[in-house]
Amino acid sequence: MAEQTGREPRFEPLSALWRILAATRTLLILMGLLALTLAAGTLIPQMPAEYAADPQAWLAMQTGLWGQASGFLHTLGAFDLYGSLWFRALLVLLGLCLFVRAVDSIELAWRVTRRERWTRAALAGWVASPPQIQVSLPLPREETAGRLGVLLSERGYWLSPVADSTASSFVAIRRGLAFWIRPLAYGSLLLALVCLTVLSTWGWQGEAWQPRQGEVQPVGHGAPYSVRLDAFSFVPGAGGQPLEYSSRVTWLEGEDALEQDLVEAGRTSEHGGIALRQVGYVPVVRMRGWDGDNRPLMLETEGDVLSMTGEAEVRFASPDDQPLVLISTQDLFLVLSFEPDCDGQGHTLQVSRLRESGDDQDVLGTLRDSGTVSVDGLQFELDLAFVPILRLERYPAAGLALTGLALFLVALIANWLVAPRLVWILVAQEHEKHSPVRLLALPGPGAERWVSQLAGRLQEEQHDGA
Amino acid sequence: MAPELWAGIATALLGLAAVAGGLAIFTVRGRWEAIVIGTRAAALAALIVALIAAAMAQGRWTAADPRQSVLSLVVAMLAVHLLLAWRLGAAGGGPMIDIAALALSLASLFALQAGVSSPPCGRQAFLLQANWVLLSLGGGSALVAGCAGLMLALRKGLAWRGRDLQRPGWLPLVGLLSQAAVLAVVALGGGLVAGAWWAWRASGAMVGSSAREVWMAVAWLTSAMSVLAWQLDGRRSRWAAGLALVAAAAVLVGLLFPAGWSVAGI
Repeated sequence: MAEQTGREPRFEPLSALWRILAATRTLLILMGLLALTLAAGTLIPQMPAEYAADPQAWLAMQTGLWGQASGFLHTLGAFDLYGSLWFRALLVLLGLCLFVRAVDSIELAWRVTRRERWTRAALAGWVASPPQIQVSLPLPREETAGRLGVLLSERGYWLSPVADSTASSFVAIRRGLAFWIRPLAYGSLLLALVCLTVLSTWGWQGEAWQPRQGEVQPVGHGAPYSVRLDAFSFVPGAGGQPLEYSSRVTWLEGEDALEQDLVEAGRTSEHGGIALRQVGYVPVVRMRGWDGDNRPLMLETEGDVLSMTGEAEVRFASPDDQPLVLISTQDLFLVLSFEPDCDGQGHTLQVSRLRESGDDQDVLGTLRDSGTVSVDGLQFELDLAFVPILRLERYPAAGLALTGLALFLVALIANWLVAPRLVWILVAQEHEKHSPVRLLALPGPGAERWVSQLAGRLQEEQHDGA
Repeated sequence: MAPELWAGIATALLGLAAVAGGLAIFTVRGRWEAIVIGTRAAALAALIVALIAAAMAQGRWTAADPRQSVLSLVVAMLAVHLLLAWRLGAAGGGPMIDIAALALSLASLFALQAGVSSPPCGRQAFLLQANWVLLSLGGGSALVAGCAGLMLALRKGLAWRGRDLQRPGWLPLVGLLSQAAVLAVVALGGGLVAGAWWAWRASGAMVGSSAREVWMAVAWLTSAMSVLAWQLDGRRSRWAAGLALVAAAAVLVGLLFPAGWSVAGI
């Protein structure tokens, strides 16, 4: 509560800004805008990263409503919502709000921990109209205040009189240390937000790389390094358990080997702030074919690589991929499909013939690791191998972002379970042998409920005592 | 053990609970509250059997199956409601929850079975299972909060008509609304973090998740707004109820999108 000096209070822009950022309404508006942006991101098509250099090419491909208003929407940043300037501004404002609220909640927790004397001005800072309830007790004012104090102390509340109050008034606090949970929650959320902003601004992720042994991949992004796959070891697990597979790699600078390392699922190799991650593996099938006269067949894979030697390498782009192999001289299409080891029976490679209708397939054979299938006098030999999928990335502070989010959730659960209590109790002058008592709670979820329960219990016990 | 049969039984029981809840409001003589709670608990049991049957029919419990997704959500919703109502003394809490559960279990009967795809078996890690369980629990809690919010709004409407009605109490409904919203924030947040962690391990990316996951993030944000609304200067319960309704709507919109996984390789 501001002190009355008779003068017009001077406008302080920083204080006003602090009050705006500390207001619950501001945080609600910003969170609402963030929710709207996320929802819009699922409804408005978002421009893939590969078109960032030439957005007009992507805009030209848009049809319907998005095509008609593409220029206007592109100017607004609607096709790149998460990269737009206003989205970043929204995140900055959200971060500022969280910072201000964290500071304010530290101040409250500090006051509670140090058991500082409360003043009306400090209490008035809560809100204009906190959750409150009024009861009337059949005792004189001083006796009512004393009895309330004893009853609240028995319930584990710590009491502190309010310094500059005209009425008999005091603050009752329970589980005071738990008031530190709130700054922890705001702080960890702020940490996660800052880390995610750092990650999205300076982080990058390379294309999926499916190397064969000895292949080298330059890191790019201005880094002088490259990375070479030395070996890929693959051990199928039993009973549908996750498979064991790892890649031995060497970091290079020009021709010089800098460091050798092992990359496994969940374990990255890092050099100069750049990480190499193994995100999976895919089958690779080496295939050869002969006709009835034992002459090699020319095999065409989906990459349009014509095999002149009668041998082709077929790579699966994804687990669900069903790559096609065309034997154009015979007008024959073969379909390969891979089934991973899910039930401990081992993985399988299925070879089918695509019918002329294009809808149905005839299974020619199911192989384990290698074998031969025949169709219409033609023979095909297949060898199954595996290559890792590796990805180069630079995600500064990603682990810290996840830690911040996890900490925030822990703080939420702790606040829910421990639920600290703060109530301001004012006992007014008695009237007809009854003293009106007002209980004002610190606003928060469930405050209305517990303050009314507390009032009910106090009234009940006071009546019993009287 | 056909899932349709058990979902049908649950639907009938929920219909009975909704009718009994309505009769309790219109002060028709009878032990309606006990009937409401009993039929609701029986419907929950039937829905659990339906979910197990649906999972057995698919060979595994997966969020990729629309029927299992809807059944998981309605199971979580009824379980959360029974638990919170018992803890807060909210008794029946009005028929809104039964009507919502009834609509969802009816939807599970007609949910499309086509296009069920899951991540490869080697990738069905603990984190992914945790993601599904927590998102279902959080979605169910958001729906409970939404129903409590709607009941609060209807309660005001019933009072305005001036009829002598046995309306659910304001304080228990407010308690149900705030507690369910807090639970939704915790569970949805946990599910989203588990999902982000899994995606990071599986494909090295925390972003670019499925539209369903994004709508769950929207539901998380609006549930958090509903919790935060209790710190407003005035009209706290109205704002909290309205935002809880938006969160519940976001959960339902999320269900319309297929579950997706950004998995590279096997």
